Amino acid sequence: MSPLTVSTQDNLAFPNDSLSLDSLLQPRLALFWGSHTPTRKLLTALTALSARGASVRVFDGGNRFDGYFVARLSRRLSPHPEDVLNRIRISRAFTCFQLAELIENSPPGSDPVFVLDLLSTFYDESVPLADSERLLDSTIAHLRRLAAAGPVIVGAREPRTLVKDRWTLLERLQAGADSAWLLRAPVETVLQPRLF
Amino acid sequence: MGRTLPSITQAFLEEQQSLARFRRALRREDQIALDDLLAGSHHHLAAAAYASHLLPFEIMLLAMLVEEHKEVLDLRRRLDELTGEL
Amino acid sequence: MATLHGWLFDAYPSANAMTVWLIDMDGRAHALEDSFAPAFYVRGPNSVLHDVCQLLHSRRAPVRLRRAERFDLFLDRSIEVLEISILKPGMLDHVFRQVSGAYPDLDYYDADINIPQRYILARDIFPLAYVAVEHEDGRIRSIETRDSPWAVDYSLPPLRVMTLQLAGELRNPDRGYRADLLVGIEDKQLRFPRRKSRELIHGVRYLLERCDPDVIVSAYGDNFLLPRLIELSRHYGVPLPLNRDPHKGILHKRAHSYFSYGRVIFRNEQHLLRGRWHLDRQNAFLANDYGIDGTLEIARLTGLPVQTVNRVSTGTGISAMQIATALRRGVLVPWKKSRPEDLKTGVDLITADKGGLVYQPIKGLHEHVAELDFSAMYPSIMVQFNISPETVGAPEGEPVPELGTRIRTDREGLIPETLAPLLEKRLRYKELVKSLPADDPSREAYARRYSAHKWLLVTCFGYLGYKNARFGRIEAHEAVTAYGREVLLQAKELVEANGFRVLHIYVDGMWISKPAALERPDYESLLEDIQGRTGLHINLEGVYRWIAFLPARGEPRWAVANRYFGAYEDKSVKVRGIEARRRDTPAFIKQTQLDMIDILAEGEDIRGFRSQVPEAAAYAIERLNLLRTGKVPLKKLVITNRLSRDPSEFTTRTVNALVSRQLANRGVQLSPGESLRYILVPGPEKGRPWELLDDKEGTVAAVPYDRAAYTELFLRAMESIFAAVGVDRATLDLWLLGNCGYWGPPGTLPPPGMEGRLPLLARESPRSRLRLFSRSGPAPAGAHQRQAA
Repeated sequence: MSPLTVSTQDNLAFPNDSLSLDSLLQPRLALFWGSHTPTRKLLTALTALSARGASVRVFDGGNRFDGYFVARLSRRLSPHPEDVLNRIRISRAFTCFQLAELIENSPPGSDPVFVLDLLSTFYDESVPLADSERLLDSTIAHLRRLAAAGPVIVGAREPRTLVKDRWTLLERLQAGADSAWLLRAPVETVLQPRLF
Repeated sequence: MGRTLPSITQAFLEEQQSLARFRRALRREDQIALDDLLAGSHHHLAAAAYASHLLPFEIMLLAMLVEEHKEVLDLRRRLDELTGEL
Repeated sequence: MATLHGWLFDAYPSANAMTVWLIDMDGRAHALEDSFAPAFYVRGPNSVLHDVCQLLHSRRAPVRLRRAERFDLFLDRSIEVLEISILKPGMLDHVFRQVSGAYPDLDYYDADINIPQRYILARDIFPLAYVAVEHEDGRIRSIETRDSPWAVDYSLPPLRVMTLQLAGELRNPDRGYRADLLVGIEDKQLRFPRRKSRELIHGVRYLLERCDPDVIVSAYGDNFLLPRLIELSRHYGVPLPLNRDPHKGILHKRAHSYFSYGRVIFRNEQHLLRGRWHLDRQNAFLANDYGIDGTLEIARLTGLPVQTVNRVSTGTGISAMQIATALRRGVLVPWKKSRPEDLKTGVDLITADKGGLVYQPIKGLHEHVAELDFSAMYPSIMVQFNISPETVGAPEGEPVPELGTRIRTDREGLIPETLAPLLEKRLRYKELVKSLPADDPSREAYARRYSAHKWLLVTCFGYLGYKNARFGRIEAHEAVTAYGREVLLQAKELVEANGFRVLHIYVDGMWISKPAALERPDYESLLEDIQGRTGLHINLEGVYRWIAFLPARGEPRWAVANRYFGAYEDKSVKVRGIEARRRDTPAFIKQTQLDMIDILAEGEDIRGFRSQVPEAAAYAIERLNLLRTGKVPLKKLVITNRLSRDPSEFTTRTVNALVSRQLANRGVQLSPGESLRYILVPGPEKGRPWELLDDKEGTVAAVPYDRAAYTELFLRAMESIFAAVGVDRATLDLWLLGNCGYWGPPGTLPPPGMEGRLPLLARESPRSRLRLFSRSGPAPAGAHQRQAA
């Protein structure tokens, strides 16, 4: 396993920055994490990649695939938003067992694989921690298998305060990734005036 | 099952919010008219949801147009009644 | 060998076998033993399975091992598995955990199914079945029944019931409420002063031994009474025979909170007895809706023990029925594993990820409106179109509307097989209830059984795609909602082709009107057409004299989908979404709203409604005066709220936070998902927990309540009612607080076209003000429409 790289970025400019996009396309396992899972950024990246012609696989572990957001962005990036959306294939998993199975059964390929919110289902209290850990270890191994053939980009969040003992899961994921980026939410949010 | 896509109501709300700057710069009387148009689109949420159109904004505009036209039809009808023509 | 006839009362694993309890015609309880060897299955490479066998042998596990072939639902074929039968049924869990702990990567099946349920399934009987048992030396040789869970009429055993509760108002002792213990037996109620605990525990023991009840019905038995009694029994060294079975302990399940679909659910602890039922009214799932009759019906249908049914949701019941179907078919029930979604494109996801059709109703008051509902729509769709996890996504079959996914029709799916008899029985109960006269004693029982069926069917849809469902598949869930939308749209087309206007559609129901259609017979042929076109059964739920579709609070421009109230032709009412239907509303306000709707229901149409408004307003004024002069009993002002988080996580001084802090100061530990009951009081305290309001035993103290806060809640509830005729808050305040109005006595509506909000003198001429359009569409002749000048 490669040494852990931890970086902090306040605002990763995805769509228009070809350099960032290209760097994402290396065959490796890249982790982006934060107090909330950085789904918007990942959706932006995967849409941009699909707009450029890539076929993207998305494994959604947190029920977060905002299709309208992707469609709006596709429209901005391409005159054929429907084609962009058709090149994105999604599978949703609602338990860590489903997510693990999804990743385990995935054939390797050169096209990018995105995993949205990998850890939420592993944080589920009804799954004993030992089982979660074991399953996650196996999942990480399979992610690395996929990463050997093509780019694998994973988003994850920290555990909530109610589940303190689950930090070990995030640590394992960080250790298993080739690079791990901590994304902090922007400090100020632009206040939109209410419409009504 | 927990739904994945944002609801159509949320999608419409997001589109409305993206118009916030446009609205802000409008004169007050124009803002009222815009608010009416946006409120009108609300009546067709079910059809918009069913349509599963990729771009909710396009459907929202169409919905606003439908409401606007209903008003026209209604006014026409009342005008006809008033002027005694059928 | 002897034969015993009786009802199957209880079954659970004993040391080496199953203990089975029966109650005979004379009400005597009998305990017998029956051997039973349930099995779980393992799949994996032969070498590893060999190691599993070695492990079991070395531990001398009481098992029988053999190779078997069982059917895997998702692979759609038989597979080879290792069958591990446990000769001591109580040890299945233990043996399974040992094997799965040592070999976590293998696939396991039939591993975590309720043992009593498996036993009765294996013997082809069911809870409360009337059985004939051949037995010898206390062991069952054979057990048979001619009874069926599908029988609409059945006899139940004579049961001796003992009740346990604290004296006084029903309040949660876990929150600090204390009072004497009341034990009820055979129409008598005995009181044990709580300060005399030695006498108390001896007394309870005596009653248990003397009366030997079959059922103990308690209020707060699970979380307080039983644990306390057990504590006292230990303290004084007085054995307490709560179980009939002296060889077994009480089954105790701990309380816990968990997240489900973004909400926190709290499951209270449980104390389950052996050979006797303990039913806690306060820990029961919807017992108010279907009571004991419904609970027993669900036990008969699902095969789950009565004590379990009493406490779990009907969703668990449906899940148990699915498992039963699988076991009967020889289909493996996967442990933990469930099939994830097949990859679908972004476009397909946007198309598929929709729910039922939910329209914005046409806002305001309407008259002579018919409500049409598809009965048990989603389950009926599953049966009609053969939707099941294993039938969806086949290479050949019927295409699902909108999605195009194919459903195979050559074989009946697991889910349709489970649901079809339920739907049929539900219909039979419905007809029975309708046909019996109101004073028939059995009508009540049938009504409750019917209610239980409705609940079972309502929850089955969620369990189709639910993440913990054994056979859940989201594609099946999506197919069902797609058919649901299609069927509604087909109905809508037929209805409109017949000249009706569609006022509202909500998932499985629609509200329509046509000037000429006033009575039931006008709708007969329409219903037939819809049934013919869609293949599903549709009902005329009723014809409303009037119905009001209400605007959103704070957004008067459009109506909200599930917020309305209306009066049917027979003056019965239907209410949705407003305070009277919300859990947190105090009883006083709920009752006021419902009474007002009854007053309005005297009106036969829109004009009738409007003419009843003054009377409704007068009644509201009366009730408000009671409230404002402090005369409402505290019990009617209790607000119930759910704790969304751990009390230690509160950061602001909300009422919930303050009330939980008071309880915490009294040593009460609260978990997320638990309910808070409190009264609003003036001052910085804001609220006081209901359970802590005491001046002496069992009496609620006369604490002054926050009149201003309750008045505000009251007025908001009134707003919900009068919004039907466009009366806004300012006008309402005039009527109710000021006891006056601009257009006449309070309750007199402003004439159409009059801006209700403006004081008389401030009114300008219409032409100089900016015209605001109301957006409810061109109105059909005769329907009321609010217009702003």
